[in-house]
Amino acid sequence: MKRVIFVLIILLLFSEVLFAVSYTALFSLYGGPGFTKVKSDDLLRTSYTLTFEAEAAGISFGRNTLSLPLSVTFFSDSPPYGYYMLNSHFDLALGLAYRYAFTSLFTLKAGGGITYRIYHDIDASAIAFYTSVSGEFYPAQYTAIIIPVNLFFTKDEIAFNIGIGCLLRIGGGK
Amino acid sequence: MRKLLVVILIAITFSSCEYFLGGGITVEPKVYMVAIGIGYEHSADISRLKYTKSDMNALSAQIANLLEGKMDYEILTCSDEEDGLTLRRMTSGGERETLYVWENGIVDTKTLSMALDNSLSKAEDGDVMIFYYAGHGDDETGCLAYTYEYGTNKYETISVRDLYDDMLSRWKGRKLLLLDSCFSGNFIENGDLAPTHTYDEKGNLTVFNPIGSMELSWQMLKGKDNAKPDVYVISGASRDQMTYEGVDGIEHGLFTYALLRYLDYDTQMEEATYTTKFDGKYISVSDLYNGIIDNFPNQNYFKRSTPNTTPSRFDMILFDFR
Repeated sequence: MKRVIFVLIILLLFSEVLFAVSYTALFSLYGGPGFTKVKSDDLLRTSYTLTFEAEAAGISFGRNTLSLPLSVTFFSDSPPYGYYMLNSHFDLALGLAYRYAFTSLFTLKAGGGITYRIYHDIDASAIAFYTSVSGEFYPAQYTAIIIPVNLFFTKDEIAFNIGIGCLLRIGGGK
Repeated sequence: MRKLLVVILIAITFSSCEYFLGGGITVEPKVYMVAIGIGYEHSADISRLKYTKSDMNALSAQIANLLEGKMDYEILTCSDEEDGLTLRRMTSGGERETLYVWENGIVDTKTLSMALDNSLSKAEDGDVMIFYYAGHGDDETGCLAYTYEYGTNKYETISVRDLYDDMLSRWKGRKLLLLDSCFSGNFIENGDLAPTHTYDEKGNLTVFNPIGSMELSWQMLKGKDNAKPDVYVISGASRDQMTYEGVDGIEHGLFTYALLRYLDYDTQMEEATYTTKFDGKYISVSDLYNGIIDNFPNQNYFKRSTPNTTPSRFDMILFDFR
């Protein structure tokens, strides 16, 4: 395992020379409504979700970009639903993302990974998995307006959020 | 592309209204409370608890004041008085009566359940049922030593399963256990969420341990479903911890003291107040839990006697004053 990680690090360090790739870093911030369905309960809406995502270890080659996004998403508590409401939580996520630039103006991103969820009000935690799709519209070379949709799933629960926000790209091609 | 943007904007607009939310509350819920405070001063040698009965009375009075004119309530108190184990009842309509006195102090759980039945069997699904206990938690299982034979060391307990299966399941309502007793964390049923905090081998709370918590969370993926539990619990201690009273000159159990402070009971004058703190708001289980943590009086004791609560994705509203 250590050997594999070592080889991957070496490949990453020398990939610029070996494969004609360029490094890129991406930072995005977006917010929007979130929805959660727990078991047979109705679909519940959280008040809002807010996500900050950092993709420091990205590599670009041609129209393609591969990155390792690290993100924090806050799901606020839901409005009361009868006598119950969803507890708010933070999702710390680590994943793998792939981008393809269709044009200089539009890039599509898809990814997925694992999240560690903390329900801070009640000192509880859970593991969840996520997958995401995001449309990125580049009005300028290094900034984009993004519209991501994330789907989180874990035992007994499916949640998704739709967001709108902005992205800052440092280095790499589109 | 414009069409796509329009569709997304419509989705966001709809999400900001109550379109996705289901039915609301139609019937005003009533609050039922059973408060047990046992001091053990009539036993031969069971260690005395000095403040459990006054805690029971203080909490009952504060909740009665809190609900007065806002929600109907029926409060049953059970304590070891001079004449025997005594069950009393008070209601929002002003009724005050003694229901039972068990003269030798011993009453089995079946008899106690039957006695509580007269009031609690009236509860409907939307009603709130609070079960408060201040007394000894037995022998590291946390069983509640609620009754004992006067003049002897003989006592009986309610186990976790007795309480859940034989007592609480008899009655309808949204249930909350408030347990100010040693090892009371045993009454919190494990679900599919893991705790974020951990304890050392002495049972003391340690600093937040993300790796340990992640491991537990991973194991909990195979855990039993506890998405919306039937019974919520706030315990005065974890599974391996004890609870304390009379610390730093505080004439209460520390857990109940924090609870009373959150509910605006006047701990200086030792009297229940009519507070406006919660006007226009609701009090949920996690509000209560966080209120207890925020008002816990001694941080050294907090590590040795850490309040715990049921880990659930859902929070439950107890009192709605909106």
